[in-house]
Amino acid sequence: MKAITSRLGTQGDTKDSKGIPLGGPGSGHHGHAGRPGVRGGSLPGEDATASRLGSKASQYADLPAKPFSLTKYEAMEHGTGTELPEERFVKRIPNRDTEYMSDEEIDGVLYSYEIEKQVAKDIADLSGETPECCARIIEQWATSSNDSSPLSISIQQAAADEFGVGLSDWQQKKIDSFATFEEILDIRAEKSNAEHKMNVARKLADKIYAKYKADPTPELRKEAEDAYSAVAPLATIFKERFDIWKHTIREMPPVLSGYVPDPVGSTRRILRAMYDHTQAELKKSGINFVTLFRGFDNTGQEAPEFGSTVSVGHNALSSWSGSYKIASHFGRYILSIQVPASRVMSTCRTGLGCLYEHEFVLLGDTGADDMAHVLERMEE
Amino acid sequence: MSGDDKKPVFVDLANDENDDWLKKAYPKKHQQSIAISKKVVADLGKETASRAK
Repeated sequence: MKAITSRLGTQGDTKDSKGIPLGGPGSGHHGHAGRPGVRGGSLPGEDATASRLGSKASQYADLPAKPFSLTKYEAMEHGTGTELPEERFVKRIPNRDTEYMSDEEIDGVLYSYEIEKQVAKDIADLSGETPECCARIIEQWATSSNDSSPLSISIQQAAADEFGVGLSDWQQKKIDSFATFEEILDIRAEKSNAEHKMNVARKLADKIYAKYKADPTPELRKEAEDAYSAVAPLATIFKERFDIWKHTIREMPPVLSGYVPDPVGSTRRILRAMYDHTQAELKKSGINFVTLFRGFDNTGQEAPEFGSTVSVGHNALSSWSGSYKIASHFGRYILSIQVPASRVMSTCRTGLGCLYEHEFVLLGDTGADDMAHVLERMEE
Repeated sequence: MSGDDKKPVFVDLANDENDDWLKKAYPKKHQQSIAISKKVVADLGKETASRAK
């Protein structure tokens, strides 16, 4: 398919670039020495793992999102300035009734299948991970980018660590309530250990009991009783450990379940490869800035005025759409921003992101003072 | 924002309850998208396995 080879088209939005520092290829620390023998974690200075961005420590902090002022009518026309080519699938707003799919829609499904497969392969080549594993991460993002899913939040955490961006307080709270990888491994070890001890004790007791059966003396009977009573507490410990294990196993990151030995490292390498790939594709297409939209309702928050400028807080990875129409499905208020391309972690053509949502994933909580323009939803 | 002295409204997108809006509004489309992803994983898994043989 032609579109696969020209992933991002050529329409860069380089307007309004005054005063906003441009990221180079791959942004901030492009050309850094890296960490010899180690992939990822190339952010210099403080330990990125500990980075919650209490101060503006991120390399992306000087790349704020600027409000992009336009009217809702202009927004309908404008698109993102980075329209992806030949998007038959995403040109249309998703159809509520997909019971009877048209030929065009079926084409769209096949098309998005091809794209996703190709993206997984591209990222696998760049990251050294398996295409299957890359596709698994993309799949998880499609399922849920954040919410309360521990699996998705583990991707957000990996992004925060890899890129040195901050997690939102909300995410941090969630993470604190989940078991860590280390805890999961510890619990697994404890469970296996308890199981082993229990089995050894039981086998020993069985042996003594067999002896007693052959030679029923009171001494052997006492010995067998003691041996069995020693099994009981071990069985209780095992049961406890097993229950904890059963509970935490559900909260394991997607790639942990048999895909790779080092899930955190793999997730980080995959995200880094997505970022590098995205940056290369954007650069190739001459795109220095992207204009993006996001719809929201001000549930429990101060209501912004239409046409005003607001300051914005995000999660480590933040979903935006290149399409005003898609964004307008997410709420009454539409934010429009313009960000330097180096803030784009991935697009639906180069990594995480839903094709039909025309999705761009931004490095969100960078410590930058992100400002957005508020548009009203266009009533259809 | 009218004038520099006025603090802009802060919009917290971190815990946007409407994040799932599209999924709720178009569950079939969303499910379809997930189904595609799952099939991609399965197919790539098969490819990996057959290459490993």
